Amino acid sequence: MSSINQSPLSYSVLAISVTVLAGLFLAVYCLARGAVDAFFLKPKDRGPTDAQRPRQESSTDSVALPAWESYFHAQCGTDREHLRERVWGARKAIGEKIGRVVTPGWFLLAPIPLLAIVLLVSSWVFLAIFTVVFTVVNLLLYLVGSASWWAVMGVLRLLDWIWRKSRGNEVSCPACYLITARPTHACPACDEVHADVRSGRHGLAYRRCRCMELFPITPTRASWHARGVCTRCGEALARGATGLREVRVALIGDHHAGKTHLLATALGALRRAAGSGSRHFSFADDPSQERVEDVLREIEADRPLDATDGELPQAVSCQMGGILSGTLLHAYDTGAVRFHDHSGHDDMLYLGDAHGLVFVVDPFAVPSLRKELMDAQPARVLLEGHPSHGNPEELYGAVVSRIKAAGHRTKAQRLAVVVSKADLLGRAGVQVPETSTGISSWLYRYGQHNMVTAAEREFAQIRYFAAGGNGQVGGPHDPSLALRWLTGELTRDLNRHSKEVSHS
Amino acid sequence: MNRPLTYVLFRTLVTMVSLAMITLLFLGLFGLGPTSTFLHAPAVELWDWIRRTTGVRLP
Repeated sequence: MSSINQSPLSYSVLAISVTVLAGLFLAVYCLARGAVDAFFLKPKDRGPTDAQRPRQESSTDSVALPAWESYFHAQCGTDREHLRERVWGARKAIGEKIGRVVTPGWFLLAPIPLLAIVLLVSSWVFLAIFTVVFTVVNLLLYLVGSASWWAVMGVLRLLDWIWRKSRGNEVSCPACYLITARPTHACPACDEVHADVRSGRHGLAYRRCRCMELFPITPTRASWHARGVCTRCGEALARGATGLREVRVALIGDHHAGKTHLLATALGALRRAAGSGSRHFSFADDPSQERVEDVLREIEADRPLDATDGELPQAVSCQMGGILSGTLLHAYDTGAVRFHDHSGHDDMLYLGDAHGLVFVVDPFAVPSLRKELMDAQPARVLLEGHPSHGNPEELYGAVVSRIKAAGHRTKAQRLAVVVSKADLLGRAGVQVPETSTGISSWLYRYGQHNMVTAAEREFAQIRYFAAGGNGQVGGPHDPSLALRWLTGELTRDLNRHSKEVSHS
Repeated sequence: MNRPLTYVLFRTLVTMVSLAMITLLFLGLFGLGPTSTFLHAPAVELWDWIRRTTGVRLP
């Protein structure tokens, strides 16, 4: 055998080589143990960030969220550090054990401590190489992952912003009337409030809540899958509020003018029309549906409606149309007593913030028409059965003055003037014209010229309608026309209709 | 403690890729795999130098 003739130096080299190999195995052991501990058995999770319920609308960007961050943003670095600690901790523990065993024999068995040093040094070198490899892979994952993440996040934020901007980018609270661009949302499972549901470090298209529930995000998607919450009062927002174009409408009118009747019959007609295959219609929340159905039951039973109380109203909300082109309508039906209470107007923020106003004119309250009708017996009976108070144009003037005094611009709003009780007026022998210009002239002729003239000047657009009874969509005295015009659904149809009438 | 599945997936990914890279490095030292082109020749030269200097021969 050739190995028999080797010099002592050769044996030393062989011994050192074997020790270096042992150092490699020691490094592999430390790496395996450290990695398994750091990544799988005893991982150091940063956990979900702490929640702080926002109190101010402007604070949505700064509050923490009760959700897990993406792996790339913080956990990747934590894992890198944790792995390093675990791997080198394992090697340190083994090194200390070797040191304790080998040191006493230093003077008697000189080669063994020397080999122990070689073992520790070689394991240190191999472990350093392994750690560098792990760190490089971790950093590559971090760089590629986070760069891709931010790119996708930017695209998702842009798409969502475009979607919301094209639909007005406004969400209003039906209870406190706060208007915001991005409401908060509650987790579908634990109800914990998430201040900001835009794509970000807590998720791109989905977010993992503190409670481990995974739910869709981006403001538009979240509004369909998680309950929207008003940032000020905590009231639930309508489903899909952020994803739909919002139209706010306030009804104005005197006592018994027919505001509640008009609103309920209009929404009832739209719901019936949707049931027969027309455009989608649904109530956005249960309270809205219950309120309208209560009123419709009273109307069908031919019972007089109770006067709306003087409390600040909660919006009746409904979705008109589908997800892509639908509208979320908030209608505010205020008790007339509030219009006469001058101290209460400052609370009615929805009047100035509304996209459109519906001014309900009770024809039986128009003085000249009332006087004309008093001469006829059937009409007198109707007048006694359906009392209304006050000259409509006086209330109109008072309300518009209040809106302007609060600093709002009526010039940015639409006004729908609806002559209510047109069916009763027909029974008394007076027919309300069908077209907007006809109704305008008709009101002018019966002494409402101040209102007609001022409204043309004070609002961006004005249109006149007649409504009455339990009208059907498309039928005579269709009660839904005003709402459909204010939500923009009827503009084209009405313009065409007006042209046809003017040509004829 | 519960944690998102993505955390486990990415940790597994880092471990697997790192181990694969370490394996490639060692295979390269012994002349195997894609890293052999720049790892094998220096390793052989180093071993030759040690053998020449010390006269050691493998059994």
